[in-house]
Amino acid sequence: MNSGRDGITALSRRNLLQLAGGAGFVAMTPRLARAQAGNIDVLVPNAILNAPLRGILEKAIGAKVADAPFQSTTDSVSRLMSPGGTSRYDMMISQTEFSKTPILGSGEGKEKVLPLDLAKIPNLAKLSETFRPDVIARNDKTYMIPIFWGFDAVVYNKDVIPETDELTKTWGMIFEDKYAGKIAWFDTAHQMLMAAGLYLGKKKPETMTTAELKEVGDFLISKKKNVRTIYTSFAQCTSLLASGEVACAYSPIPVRVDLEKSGKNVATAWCKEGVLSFSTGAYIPKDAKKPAIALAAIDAMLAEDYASKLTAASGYLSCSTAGTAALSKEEALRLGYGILEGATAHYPLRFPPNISQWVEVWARVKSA
Amino acid sequence: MAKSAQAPRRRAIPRLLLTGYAGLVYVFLYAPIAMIVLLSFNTADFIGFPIEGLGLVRYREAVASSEVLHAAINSVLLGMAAASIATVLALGLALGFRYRFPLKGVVLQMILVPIVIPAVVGGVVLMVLFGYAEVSPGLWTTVLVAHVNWALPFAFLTLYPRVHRFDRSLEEAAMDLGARPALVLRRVVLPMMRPGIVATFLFSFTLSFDEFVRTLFVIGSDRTIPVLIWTLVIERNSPHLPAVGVLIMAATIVIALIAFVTGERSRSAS
Repeated sequence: MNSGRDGITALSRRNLLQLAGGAGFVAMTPRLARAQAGNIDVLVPNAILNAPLRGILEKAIGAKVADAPFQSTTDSVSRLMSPGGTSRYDMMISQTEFSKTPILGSGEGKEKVLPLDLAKIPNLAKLSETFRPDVIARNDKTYMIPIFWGFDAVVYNKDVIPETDELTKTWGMIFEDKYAGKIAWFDTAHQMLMAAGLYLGKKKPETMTTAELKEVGDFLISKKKNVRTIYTSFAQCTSLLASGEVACAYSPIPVRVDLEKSGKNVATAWCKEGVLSFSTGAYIPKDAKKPAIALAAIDAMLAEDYASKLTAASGYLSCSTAGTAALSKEEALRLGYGILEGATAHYPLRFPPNISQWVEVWARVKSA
Repeated sequence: MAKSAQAPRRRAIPRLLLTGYAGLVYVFLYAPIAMIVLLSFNTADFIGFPIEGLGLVRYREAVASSEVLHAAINSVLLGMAAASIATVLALGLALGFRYRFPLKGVVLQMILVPIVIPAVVGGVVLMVLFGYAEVSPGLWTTVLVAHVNWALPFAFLTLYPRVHRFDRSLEEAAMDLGARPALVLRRVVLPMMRPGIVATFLFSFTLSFDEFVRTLFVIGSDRTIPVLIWTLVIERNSPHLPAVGVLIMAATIVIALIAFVTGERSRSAS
């Protein structure tokens, strides 16, 4: 270091180059290692690469996995559809229900993704029967394969709400007056209106008419007085439940996992109307640079080594029958695998055709 | 007598109101920051209240986290590169703008466009552009360009007034003594402008270091500090996040202060 003529302390040119070079080397080290071993760029929910899953996957495919920040299924599909989107990633995973139409395109030859060589995915034989309908194909070509699934439900604090309470068996826990002031809702139109629709007895809430949407909106507005807060991120929901600010909340899986890992006394309310379930599928964009490694990755995620550790590491459940291999029956039921055996009611989180109306209704609820 | 006794009281009421108003403004501005600082010392496993204990455990976690370290190194290197490029380009533009040329006003507006475009729109535009150009997303490709694009107008606005006020007779004197333009630039203009250039570099660095929205649209598998924080907030409970936030705030404040001081020196020198 030396002092400049005007008194400003400045790095000498040599020092600056040394500093930049050293820092650059540190920053580039993992990149160099990745380049040497080969790598694939993926856009998947980042939780499914939590330790030890990334290591298992990388060992199975013999390459490093570089994961981009995942935002949502909508964002992933938008990225795929945007200019240059089919060459940006080697493999992507997003919700099957929402993704299947855009990735297939308007007709044969318009697909945004590659047909999958099933001979390279022998572990497809392990795919659970429940998720066979979620294999997306056209004219004998397969384009998308289910990898993991999950569900949204109510998570509640057992120190405040006894397990014997009848409300622990219904979505009503986050709507009715009993736990007023200790309830958190999730700030998403789709999920909240689906949950409220199911609670109000709508058989197919995703097809709700304008009048039914108004009814659900009015119901939510009438119950808003019971709500402590409407959260926007998983971490926020976790903090609300952990701090005791709320006793129950609309909760995606990662919230319960975080709370359980920290020893909090929480449980999932297995709503009799059905928890909101979804499956996700893997696909390889049309111009992916390393489709062979991507195929190997899809196969590895259905294999026992990865599938059996998925739930413990991320909370999500494997679409492979190998997912329950290391779990006791009670454990499997507690984590949600009971859905596959019919022990737990569920309703698929189907995408409504009139989503903009749903967003308007939710905006009315929030501003009421 | 009675009237003159009431006069100071009459003056005191507006002063009191003004003080109260100013106090509220400061509370509004700094209470959230104070809360983050307080939460960063909370030893609880979750972000929020109640405070279960006070300690440095979350700072130790933040410093020991390899993902935080890598993201910080990425942000610093990227900030230095983006700030260097933006400062050099801004200096060239500012020097150029001392002369008359056709459509000068239009060019000025075009330079300032990234400031007025909403960040989300800017991010989408860059993502589409890189998509058409088939540029692979990455820290040193797409993100660097996005950051220079964002910092350049601010760098230009910081430097231009200093260049505009620069006494050109000093350059003319140097040229009268036989110096070529390159030598004049190196030996006369740059040394005198140095505080302004340093301030611009530091200001550009903070803009790059804090940039999030545009980065999210064009980044590949790398993480900068803001992107890492966002992924942590969205995906999982990370009790060391307030500590990371405080460390970043502290670094940004120090850099901004240095930029401010050097900027002031530059102003007083010119």
